Amino acid sequence: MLFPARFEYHAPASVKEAAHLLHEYNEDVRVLAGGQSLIPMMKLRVLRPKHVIDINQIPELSYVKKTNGGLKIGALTRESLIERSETILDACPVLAEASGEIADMQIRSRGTLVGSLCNADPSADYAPVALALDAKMEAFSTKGSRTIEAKDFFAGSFSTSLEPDELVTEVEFPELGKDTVASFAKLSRSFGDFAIVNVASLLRFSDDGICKDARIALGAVASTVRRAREAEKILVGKKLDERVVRDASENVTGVCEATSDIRGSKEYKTEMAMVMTKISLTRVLEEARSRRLLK
Amino acid sequence: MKVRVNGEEVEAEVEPRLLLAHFIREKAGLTGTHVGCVSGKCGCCTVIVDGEPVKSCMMFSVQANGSDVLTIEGLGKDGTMHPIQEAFWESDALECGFCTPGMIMAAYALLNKNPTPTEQEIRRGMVGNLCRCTGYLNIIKAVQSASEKIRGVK
Repeated sequence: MLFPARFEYHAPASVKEAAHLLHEYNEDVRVLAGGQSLIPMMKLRVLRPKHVIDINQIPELSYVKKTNGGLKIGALTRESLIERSETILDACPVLAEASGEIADMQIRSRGTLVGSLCNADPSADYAPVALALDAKMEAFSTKGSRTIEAKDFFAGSFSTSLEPDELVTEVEFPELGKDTVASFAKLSRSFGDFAIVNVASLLRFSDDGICKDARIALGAVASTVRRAREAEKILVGKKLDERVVRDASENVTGVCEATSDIRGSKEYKTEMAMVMTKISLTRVLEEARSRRLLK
Repeated sequence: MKVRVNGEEVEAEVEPRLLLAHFIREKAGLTGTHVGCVSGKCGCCTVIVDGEPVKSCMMFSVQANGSDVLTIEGLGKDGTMHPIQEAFWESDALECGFCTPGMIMAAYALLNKNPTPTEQEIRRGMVGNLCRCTGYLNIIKAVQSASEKIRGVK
């Protein structure tokens, strides 16, 4: 039975107040949203922040808003809500797909999308979706706010490009057009377990059925989530079939720098990166076929 | 802090680091909620907070200030078992019983959201709860049986 080291607890009522507290306590502080990663780490005393800033008293941070061509999701929006949101299922279903495979029902009741992104676990399930779809993070501090694109956000294992006094208040995902199909595929030992490999893929088709844009993002096979840009190039400009998908899938191993651990050997993970990419792309193709995008 | 546990107000002064599971066990005196692991994996501590299933060992008790908490003790009424408890009993879904309160609270939440779950939905819905004794099959049967009891089709 373990519990955290002593800390000072703050529950600000506004984002401005939270930013002030973050700035004041600077290095020795952690933001508490869902707490489903933070609290276990504090219980194990891997983390011993002197100050904890609980943002759960700022309910205005929980929202899913449709904007012009995008979806803005607030920092307190729970994973369980994202899984079920009609707005997200309509505009960006791959996000709901990924959300439903995270951990378990209890963790998803508390855990947040933004919290997961900021935690930057290399095997996090939202990260490949964020990277493949060019999500944008809104970072707020006492100095104001700035937008950080996903490709500049994930810096390394449990590391982001956020300044110590910044907190992410919102993330924006694009609304997927009728010519676009995306899918999320995850390999794990048991449903909801941390991924051995996870993949988000997206394909956009021209009117004559040619793939005009492709995105493949892989998680859990490097210190941070990776785009497989060479594999994407294999798909673009072509009429897609199983052979092209196989070629692209085989190519993703080039961005894998997996480490052997309890979830699998380096060789296994790399092989599975290829397999899960093939599965993800195949699902996208099937959906595209049923939507008559392939001609 | 003040919290309504099974409909009754419990007030206590706590350190911020007191986990909700320990508040329930030590301050509210309800020991049906169990602490089975240190990593948040086992689900033995599952309770319902403001209508949502939560692992109470992964929440600070101060975060439940002003909230409604339902524990296993809040399910039965005047010595009568809740249909889910009945189903677990009849389906032989417990051996040592340590995971059982968490399993029942998770089943409660699952059936609230989805009154007619398929077997796969039960298996996937309850991945947050581990059992070392039963091998899960009878637990799944119990949830299916509970679903029928609650809907009155049994």
